[in-house]
Amino acid sequence: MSALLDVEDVRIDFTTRRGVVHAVRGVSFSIDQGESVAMVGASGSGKTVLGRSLLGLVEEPGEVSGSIIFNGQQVVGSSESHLQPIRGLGMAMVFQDALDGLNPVYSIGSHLMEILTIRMKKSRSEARHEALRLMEEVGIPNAKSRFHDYPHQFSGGMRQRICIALAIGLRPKILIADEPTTALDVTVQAGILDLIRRLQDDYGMGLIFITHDLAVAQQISERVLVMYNGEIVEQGETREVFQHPKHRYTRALLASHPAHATSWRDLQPMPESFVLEA
Amino acid sequence: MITFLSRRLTSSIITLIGVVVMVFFLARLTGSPVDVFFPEGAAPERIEAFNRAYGLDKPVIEQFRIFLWKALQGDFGDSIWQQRSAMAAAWGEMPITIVLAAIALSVSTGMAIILGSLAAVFRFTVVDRTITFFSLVLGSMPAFWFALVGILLFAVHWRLLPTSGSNTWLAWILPVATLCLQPIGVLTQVVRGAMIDVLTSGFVRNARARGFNSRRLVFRHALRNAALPIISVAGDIAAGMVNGAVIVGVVFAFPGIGKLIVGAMLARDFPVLQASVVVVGISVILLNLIVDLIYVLVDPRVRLS
Repeated sequence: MSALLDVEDVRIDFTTRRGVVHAVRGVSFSIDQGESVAMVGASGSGKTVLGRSLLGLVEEPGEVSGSIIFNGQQVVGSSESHLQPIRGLGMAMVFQDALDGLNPVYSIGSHLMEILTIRMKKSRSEARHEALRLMEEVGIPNAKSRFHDYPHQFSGGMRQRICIALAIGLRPKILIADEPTTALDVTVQAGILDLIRRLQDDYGMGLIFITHDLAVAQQISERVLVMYNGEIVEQGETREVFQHPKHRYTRALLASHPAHATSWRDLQPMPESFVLEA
Repeated sequence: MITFLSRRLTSSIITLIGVVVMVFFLARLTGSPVDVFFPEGAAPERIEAFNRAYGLDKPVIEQFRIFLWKALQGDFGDSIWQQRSAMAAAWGEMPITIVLAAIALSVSTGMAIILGSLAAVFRFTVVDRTITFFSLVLGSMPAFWFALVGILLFAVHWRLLPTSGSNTWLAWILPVATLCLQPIGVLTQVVRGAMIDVLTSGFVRNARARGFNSRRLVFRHALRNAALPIISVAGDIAAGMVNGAVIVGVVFAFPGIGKLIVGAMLARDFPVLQASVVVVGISVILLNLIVDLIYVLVDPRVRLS
């Protein structure tokens, strides 16, 4: 029995004028239906570009090789028209730049109507009903009166909630969340995390949560992949990895995190040798 | 919004008055209509009668005072050469100029949107480089030069198109092309830049991640956002079509406000010249108002701020 998403030896290279950058160097993992996985690592470790490659969204000059099989279908090297059915409906993605995530010239309502009528093939009245339900589901107060509002009338947190509504509205089998709270206030972050966790349960979606925040990874995931310099250096059950880290980098990462120290004296800076030039 | 529009309107009217004043005095620096109107050795009493009839016997400042007073009442005097009021002459030539400018503007905007979008979608490829090269060439080509070369090649050498007139649709081709080519070059680069900005933005990437096809991404998500810079440049180009109308009037003897202005200048038909400048000014003010209104329709952020 193969997994819902099977990633085999994926490599992502960027050819630049100053040579080839190996952003991802041979990564393998798989995800089953309804499973939640956190991908942790420092910035520059390749986690964001790996997340994008799952939907075939790596842009020139990036080049993906290896194999990404979602629901029996190969993503690597597929044409746009083969990828379009997978995007959104198979795997939906929430990105980190919440402020730039919605089209400024269309209302919130028309964003939701667009995915529901075009992608989900609903009638206009069904779609309108569902759109309001989604807005309520992601915690927009007075959904009806805000339906015709434009993105610039929404706060950053509210915009990210709409982006989440736009992702789950497509009923994806896997939700990929790429640092969805990075651009937001700390006070707003907790609400968004709770929302994602609740929706994952309610909709039975798989979740790939990309983050550099260990505490968040611990809260949200069953399994964790630790990325360092384009490789997965450790993966396993979240609790197991956090209690008994095997790889030197994971240990260093945990030792440098305030949540894992009882006093500031226990805090260890990340050893120089692990710091990436990013 | 209303205060914004009324402020724009006030400043444009002040500009218009300034232009009228300049035209009034500059025109009189060129000499007197008498030199053009009468043959050498005409009877002095006829000249005197003529000067009196058009108020040219008074000092220039006095002439200006009378002109301004009458103009404020909407009276721009009568044409010296034609048997009708100057305003009627000017308004009479506007329709054909507006039609010509509208055709040229639609053609150039349409072409620029297609070419610029293609260049943006296929950015940094051969398609992009070819389009960018030709848009630079077109953008830096003087309209009068193209008009002359166009006549030489298409009308004289190959005999495909007439050299002048406006009676057949063939006669419109060279004038429209003369007005279009430079705007196509300039606008294509604006469209390309604006589209690249938008196509690499987060919301277009998000829409792509939702599985929408490229046609939808370009036409629904990108184009309307790229529209603002395109509209403002297209507005400037539309206002600049008056210059084009002058060139087309001279080179192709194409009727319209351009030909009228040039003719009035050469004949020292001051009332017609002044009236034409006012008519062109009013058209440009209206055009700017229309551009502002389109802005508001296209971008909800302008609407509310």
